[in-house]
Amino acid sequence: MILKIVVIALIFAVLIIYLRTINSELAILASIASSVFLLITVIDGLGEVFSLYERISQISSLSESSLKIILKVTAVSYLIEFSASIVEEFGLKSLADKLVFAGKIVIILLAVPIIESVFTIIEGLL
Amino acid sequence: MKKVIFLLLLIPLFITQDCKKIENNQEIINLNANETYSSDDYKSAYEYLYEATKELLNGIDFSTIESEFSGFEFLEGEDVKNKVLSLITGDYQVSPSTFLSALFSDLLGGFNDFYGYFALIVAVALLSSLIDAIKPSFMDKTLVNLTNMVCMAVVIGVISGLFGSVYQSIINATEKIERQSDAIFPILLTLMTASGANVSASIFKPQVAFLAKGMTIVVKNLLLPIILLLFVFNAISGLSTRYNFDKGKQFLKSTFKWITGFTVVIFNFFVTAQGLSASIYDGISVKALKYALSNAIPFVGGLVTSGFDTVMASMILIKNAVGGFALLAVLFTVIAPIIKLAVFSVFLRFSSAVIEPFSDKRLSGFLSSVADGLGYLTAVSAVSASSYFLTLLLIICSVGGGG
Repeated sequence: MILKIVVIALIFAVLIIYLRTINSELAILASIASSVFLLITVIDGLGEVFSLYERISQISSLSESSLKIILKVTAVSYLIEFSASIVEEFGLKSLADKLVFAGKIVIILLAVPIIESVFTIIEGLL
Repeated sequence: MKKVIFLLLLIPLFITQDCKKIENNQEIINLNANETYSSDDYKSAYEYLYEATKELLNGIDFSTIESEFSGFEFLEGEDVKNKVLSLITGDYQVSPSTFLSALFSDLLGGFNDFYGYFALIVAVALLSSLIDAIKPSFMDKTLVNLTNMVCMAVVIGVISGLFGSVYQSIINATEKIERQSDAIFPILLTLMTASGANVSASIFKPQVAFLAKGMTIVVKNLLLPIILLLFVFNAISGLSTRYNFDKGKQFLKSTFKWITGFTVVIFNFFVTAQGLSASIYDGISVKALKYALSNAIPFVGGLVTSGFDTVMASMILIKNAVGGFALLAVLFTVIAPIIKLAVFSVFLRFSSAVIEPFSDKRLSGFLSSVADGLGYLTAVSAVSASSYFLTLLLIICSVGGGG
């Protein structure tokens, strides 16, 4: 599987470099396509990871919501980072920074219930 | 020469006479052994002491302590008075196999409870490691820190909840020991006085007051808040990379050790120095009383002294049985929270060890530092339980009655 991913990545890299010399818009599209294609390639493995987490959430039934929040936060951070790297690759650093900033806000919004519960518990102890 | 032979002939005669005397004395001894100690005499003496003890026990009001000690498993449905009587007669015995099996089932139950939380911590650590694994390549540092902070927050929330329940169980055990000592010590001190240990009882009164109130004040208002602050510092250090409370934690740990050591030294001074000489005074005063009784009362002075001895012996039996009952109660009070603490500590250290190779350092460090804090909780429960235990033992061992 890893060999397949490496080969695909190298092929797309060569293609993007070639397309940059011909047409930069096509190079952007190829860059996005390569990211999507690589993600699709590993989606089966991710499916196994998610089933493992589902099994863990069944064992620790009290914290199913917490696990969901963490998975969402991790997914958001990965998505933001992939997108920001693609945008940065084409010289739009300020846009990439804004994207990362927006991602942080989303993560904080997702994590608010968890942080609230932590402070409530500590307040209860004190 | 004839005189010498005559004297020599007389010697066997003396020896024979001495042997006869020894034989006669042996017969006397044998006769005395047979006359004084028959099995029926033993049985009647036991029954007499049993009846006297039971009568005295029925005269003691246990209603004040019934509510405090009614929930314990070792009572097996009986009330306190009947359990004390069974302790006196030896009918009640704690079976080691039953005790160990109960202990083992508590341990297994504890591990079963923590299994789900262990699975959660491993899952979070794996996610955290996924994020950390690609950090060097292209991920923004602040985004990684934020995601790790969320993972830490989940673990801290879960561990905080577990710590809170363990902390509360220690507070409950400490309060229960305080209530038990408030209930049992007035009865024990009264029994001590009734069994002739007047001086010991007067010495134990302030010590018991210090134990019941002073120790609880120190534990609840100083030691337990220090442990709680330690946990909060650990939690904040885990959430934030910027704020580190290492020096604060060291200060709290050293303060805890000083306070605990000082309290234990003061308590031991109260207990050992004064308690040792008191029993000697009591022994002398009781012997003097018995001498006065037997000589002052004509004809029946000896009988009165024997009756006095019976009452004293019964009181000592009751005092020791009540003390033994209280010892069992304190054991059953503290054993469950301490097992819970031990299981929680093992769970934290095991989780920390499992996730250390692949998780964020803060996560495994947090788990390990919380496990260290649990050691202080164990020390707190051990200090309050052992002080109470030691005082009960000294009261049981204060014989009085010239013993």
